[in-house]
Amino acid sequence: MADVINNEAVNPAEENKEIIDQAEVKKVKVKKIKTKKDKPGKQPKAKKKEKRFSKMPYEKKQGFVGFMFTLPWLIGFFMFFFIPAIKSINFSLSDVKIFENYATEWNNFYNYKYIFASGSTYLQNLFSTLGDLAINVPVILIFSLFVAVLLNRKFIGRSVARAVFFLPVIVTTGVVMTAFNGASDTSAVFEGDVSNGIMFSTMNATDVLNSLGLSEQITKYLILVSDRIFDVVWDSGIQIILFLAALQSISPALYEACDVEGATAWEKFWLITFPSVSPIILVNIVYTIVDTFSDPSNPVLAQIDGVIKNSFNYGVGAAMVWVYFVIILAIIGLIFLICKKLIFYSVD
Amino acid sequence: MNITKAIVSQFTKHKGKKTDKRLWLNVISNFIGKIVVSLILLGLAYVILYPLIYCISQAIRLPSDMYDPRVIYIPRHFTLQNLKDAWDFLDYPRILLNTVNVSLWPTILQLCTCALAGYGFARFKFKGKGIMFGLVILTLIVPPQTISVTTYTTFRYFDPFFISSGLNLVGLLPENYIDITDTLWSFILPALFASGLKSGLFIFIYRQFFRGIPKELEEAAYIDGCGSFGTFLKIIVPNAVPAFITVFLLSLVWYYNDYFTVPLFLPLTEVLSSSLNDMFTNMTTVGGLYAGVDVLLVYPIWRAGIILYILPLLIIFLVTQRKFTESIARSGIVG
Repeated sequence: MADVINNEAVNPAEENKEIIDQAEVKKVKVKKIKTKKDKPGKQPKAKKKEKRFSKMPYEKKQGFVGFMFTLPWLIGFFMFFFIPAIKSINFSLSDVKIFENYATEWNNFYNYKYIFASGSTYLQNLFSTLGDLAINVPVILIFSLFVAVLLNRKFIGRSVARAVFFLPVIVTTGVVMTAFNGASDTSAVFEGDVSNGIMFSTMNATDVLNSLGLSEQITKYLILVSDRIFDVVWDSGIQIILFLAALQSISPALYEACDVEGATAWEKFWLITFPSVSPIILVNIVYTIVDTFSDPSNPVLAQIDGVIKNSFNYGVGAAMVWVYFVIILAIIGLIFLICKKLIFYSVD
Repeated sequence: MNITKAIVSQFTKHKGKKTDKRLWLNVISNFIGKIVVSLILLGLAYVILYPLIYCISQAIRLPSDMYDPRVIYIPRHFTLQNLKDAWDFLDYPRILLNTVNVSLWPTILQLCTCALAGYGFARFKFKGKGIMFGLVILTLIVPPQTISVTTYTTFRYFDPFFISSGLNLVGLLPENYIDITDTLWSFILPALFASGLKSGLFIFIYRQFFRGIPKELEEAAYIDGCGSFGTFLKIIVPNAVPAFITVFLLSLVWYYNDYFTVPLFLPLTEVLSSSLNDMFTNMTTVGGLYAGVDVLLVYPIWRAGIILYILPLLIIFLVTQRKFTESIARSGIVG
């Protein structure tokens, strides 16, 4: 260290013909080194950071890099999810007043009391949405698994069939759905074309099922399901894709072994196919639940939309949404607990 | 087909009478099975295509055919006038441009930032990773309606990390917030920070896919002196094309179809999804272009509007269909 300082100190004296700029630079250098000497622990900040990074053990360094990769998401999560969520909880607990800006005032759980008060339609809507869910989830699951198994077989025109079944993923949207449904509803009256009245009429099916001697409950459920066939087919695009991907990842060797042992197609399905796709069943259940719950046209969300957009009752709206979300979370948690024991993981 | 051939060849080898019957039964049941499968799929395909076919059929007929009970699917008089009317009513080119603006840029940004986050979650170990990924899943299951109003207030009084307040103190801003509603920023900023529409799902897809790429590829790059980001760009991205295609298409389609957030954050911007949603009401209510006209005559134009709405999606789908179906199957969402 001392040598360096001596050199630097001597240099300006030796080359005094140099232009001023350079001389100044050297002076600065000398100063820096002097400060170094005073406090040897203190280094320029950038250098220190660099040194610290290069001295880091490999694993820690990798961890830091990984954190940097996820940092944009973390910032976004904080700005566009966490803060709005906290604000929304605050809204649900207070009286929201809108003027130039907005203000919130604690109102002792009034919003929650209000939505659970007798005579409120919220609970009614909630139950009807839950009822929808109870019908939709099993039907969509069974249907999409069924179609995926069919699409996985070899037959003529398979690529065309796949394209058709993936179409709902691309086009599916509330706008087109209402337009489609509305389209056939109204036209039938004018055109005298009864078969177009409801998308697919089940009027005769009720009679047939009743005459078969099935119990009324089962008949009702079947009719309900077949009335929904249009919605079900259009809502299960993603689920079909997920199941199909899972089916294609099953090793053909397993089926060959089955053939050698003389298993029937039925046994093959329950012993090989079903356990192999069971992790995806969970994914699909969760996806279907979330999809049904966050569909803006379901009764609860329609009501919330009305409360917010028409009566500007932001506090009550937020309370409704949070109650709704807690229920979703409870249902998903319950399903996770049940499925944890039933799912078969081939890896890990 | 191979199984059938094998069975037939077996049948010709052994000519025992009992096995004969069995093998023939097998062949026949196999054949019937195929026909049944085709029939079921054909029926279901009809359910999917029916409304489309119906819309197209109504969109290309003359209004007089609407009164004709003999016409159900195939019109007697063809016309493109309905499409033209719908085109004019929607102001189609302008609205389509708006829609592309609102859906394409966030999609491209989301495509990149979600990939970064997905790579971070897939390949690195750091403190709090488990919790962070749990939060990603949480954003996935929280319905967007839960935080829509407060997200609006966040955009209306935008003050990220008190930057706006700071600028206001220094005197660079008149207020202590910026209003970014009704600007494209309210779509671009969330996408830039991997928090756009359904980005939790995209981070999940990327993570699953990146985990399936052999680690040896990256280790080789590291040994050759490539940095982490360089490795990501040069090794991971070229190997993850299916995941990128899947995310791009899904994200584009969901932004295109979204009629919930656009009217909320960009109330002054007309996009296809929201204007189609109101199209029928706008046409027939008092003061509308078709007020007082028989509804039956308005339907064909409305259907033509639906066709115009679906058309860009259909074109994208038909162009990328093969790649899309392949890549979804390969993108390892299954994990």
